[in-house]
Amino acid sequence: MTALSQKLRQLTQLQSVLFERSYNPTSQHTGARFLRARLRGPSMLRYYPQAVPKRDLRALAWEMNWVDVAEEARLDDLAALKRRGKGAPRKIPSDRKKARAALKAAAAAEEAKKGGGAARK
Amino acid sequence: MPNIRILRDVAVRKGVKAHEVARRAYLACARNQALEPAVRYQAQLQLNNFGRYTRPTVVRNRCTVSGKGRGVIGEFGLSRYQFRLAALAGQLPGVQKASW
Repeated sequence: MTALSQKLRQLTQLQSVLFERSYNPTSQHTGARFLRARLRGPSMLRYYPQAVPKRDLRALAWEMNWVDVAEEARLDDLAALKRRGKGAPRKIPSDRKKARAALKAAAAAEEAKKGGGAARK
Repeated sequence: MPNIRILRDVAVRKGVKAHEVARRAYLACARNQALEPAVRYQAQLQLNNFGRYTRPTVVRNRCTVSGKGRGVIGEFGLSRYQFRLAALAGQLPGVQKASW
């Protein structure tokens, strides 16, 4: 090692101390570049355009007092039909719904019986 | 309505974002030549233990309309066919059909 190269090395060492740089004469991999690089997740998530959920849109419309003219007209027509007795027929309750209603009625009857007994006592 | 390929890609992107910091830390340890070989090996093992949906290389820029993975024109994020449809419909400012 010549005197000049040794001097240069000392110089870089001193520089690294003075300017708070890491002294790495052998260019060892330190993994610092993985820590230095920006995080890519947030921009990755922004690639696909975000769809606004229908519920939010409806809430926004309500807030902003937007009126859907066609929808209003449709509802008005339906109301008019119903007033004239020309609305959609009543739905026949499904078997499951009937069973549930029967159960509920039985439970209510039971409750009433109990409550009535307690009152009489 | 996005199709399943887009939804899966979005799931990957979410996973990448959620685990990015931890992955980076392990990666830096594994690549740091100043550390003990055993430590670096353990860090690499931890890296390998992350799920598939946390790896940034699994993310692919798909067509934002059709979800196609190939033939996507990056500037518009559209596959070549969706690009043609949008361009002919005049939805892409500055894009003209060439003729010579």
